[in-house]
Amino acid sequence: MLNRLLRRQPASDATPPRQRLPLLSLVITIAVSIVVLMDVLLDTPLVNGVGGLFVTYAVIIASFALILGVIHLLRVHTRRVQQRANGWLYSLLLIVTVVFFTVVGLIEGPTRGMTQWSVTYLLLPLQSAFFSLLAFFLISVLYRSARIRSWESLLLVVTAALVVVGGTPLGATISPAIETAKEWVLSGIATAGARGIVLGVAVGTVITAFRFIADGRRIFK
Amino acid sequence: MITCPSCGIDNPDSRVFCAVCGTRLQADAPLPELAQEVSPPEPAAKKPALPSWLQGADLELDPPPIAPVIPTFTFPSSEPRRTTPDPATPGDWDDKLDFSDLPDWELDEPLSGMSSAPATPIAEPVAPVVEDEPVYGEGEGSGLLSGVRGPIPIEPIVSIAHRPPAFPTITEDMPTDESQSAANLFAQIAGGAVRPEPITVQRPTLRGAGLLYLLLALVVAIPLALNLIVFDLPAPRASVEAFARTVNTLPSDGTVLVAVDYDGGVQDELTPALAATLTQLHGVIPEGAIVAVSTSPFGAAVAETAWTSSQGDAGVTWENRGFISGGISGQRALLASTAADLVIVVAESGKVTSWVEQDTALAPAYPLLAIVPATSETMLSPYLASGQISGALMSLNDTATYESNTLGLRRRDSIGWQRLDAATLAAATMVGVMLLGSVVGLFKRGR
Repeated sequence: MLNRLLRRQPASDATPPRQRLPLLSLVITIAVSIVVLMDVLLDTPLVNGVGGLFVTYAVIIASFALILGVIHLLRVHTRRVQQRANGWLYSLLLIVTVVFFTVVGLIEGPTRGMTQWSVTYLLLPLQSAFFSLLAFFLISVLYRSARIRSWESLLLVVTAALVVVGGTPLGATISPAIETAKEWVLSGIATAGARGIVLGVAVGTVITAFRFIADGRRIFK
Repeated sequence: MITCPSCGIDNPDSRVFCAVCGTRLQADAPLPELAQEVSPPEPAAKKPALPSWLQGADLELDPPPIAPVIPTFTFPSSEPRRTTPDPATPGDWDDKLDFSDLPDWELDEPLSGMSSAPATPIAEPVAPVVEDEPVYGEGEGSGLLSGVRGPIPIEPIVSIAHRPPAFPTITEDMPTDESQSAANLFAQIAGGAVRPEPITVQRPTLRGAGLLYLLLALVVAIPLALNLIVFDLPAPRASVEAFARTVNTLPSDGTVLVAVDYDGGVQDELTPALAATLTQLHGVIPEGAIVAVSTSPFGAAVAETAWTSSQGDAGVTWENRGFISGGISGQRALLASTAADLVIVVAESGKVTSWVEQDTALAPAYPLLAIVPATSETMLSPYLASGQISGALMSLNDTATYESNTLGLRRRDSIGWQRLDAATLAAATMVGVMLLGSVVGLFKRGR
């Protein structure tokens, strides 16, 4: 029995070898999922303790997975540099950056020295500049695409103008009714739509979790 | 079974040569006999009428369908070439063809590779051999492999007769110049000699797009630089007042957990709000502690930036724990093991919802405050309406009113207020351009 659990499933002609999953791994995954789910639903010391332990294990495994991901990334880009593949200079830059900031971070820590300087004066300004380009693209799109061609487009344009202007002091300067209308649109119509989206995501998550517990092999395919 | 000494494959006992590598297995075994030569059939007595300049060439223009023919190679004869047409056999071509400048090869000799002797037919095509024994030389009494002996088994396809190549004629199937050039290009590309040029798609561009970009930049920059426009702040919203009220109710030695999970794209909107919140905490919990965590790798540095921007006495303890791995599992593990009086989440809607869900799953749940950008206000409003979030700062408008009403900052000291003015000008410009585009579109349609 144990040998059968440890060994792979007998290969069938219809199932390629890569899709076979050891039975023991599947059993462990399903059991842990059920325990963690019960930890949320129940309030017993045993289930809460075991569930908390599993969550801690997940955090530790995720940390090692992050390290493995970085190692794999370095291997891939090192191979690209060795083979002088297309764009190998960028791969070399990535490798140098990773090694440099890893060493600096280990020596100085994540919130001091070079690490803090690079985030404050390199990373954040570059990300801000990149996102600020959206404003220029948006104005071009608004001129070309946001045109009144039908009653629906008229409603869209008016609502967009109302929400954008109402969220700024300019709306209150023009008329207090604009701010009131904006609040009504966001709290009434938009919130209803957001609730539907959140409910849909939650239901889908629950269904996916139960599908996995019921038939994990199909999920792994 | 006989094992081949060269490749090691087992062969039947009757085989003389290995079926895989051809090595002789039995040195004393006789070689298989080749097939007998087949005598050629009698040539056809009647030939079609040929023009004089083709006379002498024994071409089978219409070979008999039943008797397939394999051409044989013979050398041209040494007889002098006849350069003029034979007057004894005048034909339609005689008056039109001039042979004086033709190349020096025999016209009345057969074409290269074609035999003047009657073609040698072969026997019936050999049926495909099913058994293991290969077929040696059957049907190969003539042709290129005539007389060739050895271990090479003859595939049935070799003995299949084929017609001689037809005399080339101009047909519609022949490639045109365009198709030939395309085929040449393809051959070059396939051979790697030519790298094809990438096809560039001409995308439709907006005329005057640069003017729009310049307009946006000038409308925002000039009034701010010259301090021409200062918008009056509206009254704070209920969520902002609840935010400030929740922070004010903390004990003086309370502990606040701050989750900083945003990136540089929204840091201009969220960092002033976080800095203002930390400034208020300086005054509310002078003997307490603020613990900063993040589920993003550089969140610790972002939190440190906001802490540096905050103002206040150095009484409160600042502890930056940095990155926590595991995503949602890390959030759950942290909330389960932390004893905090308040949790403040500074992130976009996706991460805020995960923090809210993990906090709600605990019993009892911590009071939760949120600082989100304006784009996340819609997704956060259900949690705000249900009471899972006690208060929130959801835009630069809220940040500016929070700084002004709670902290008493004037415009020149309020970063949120200054950025709100810039955002207001940009929003007004965009709405104006949108309406202008609609008017232009209506005008064009009317014409």
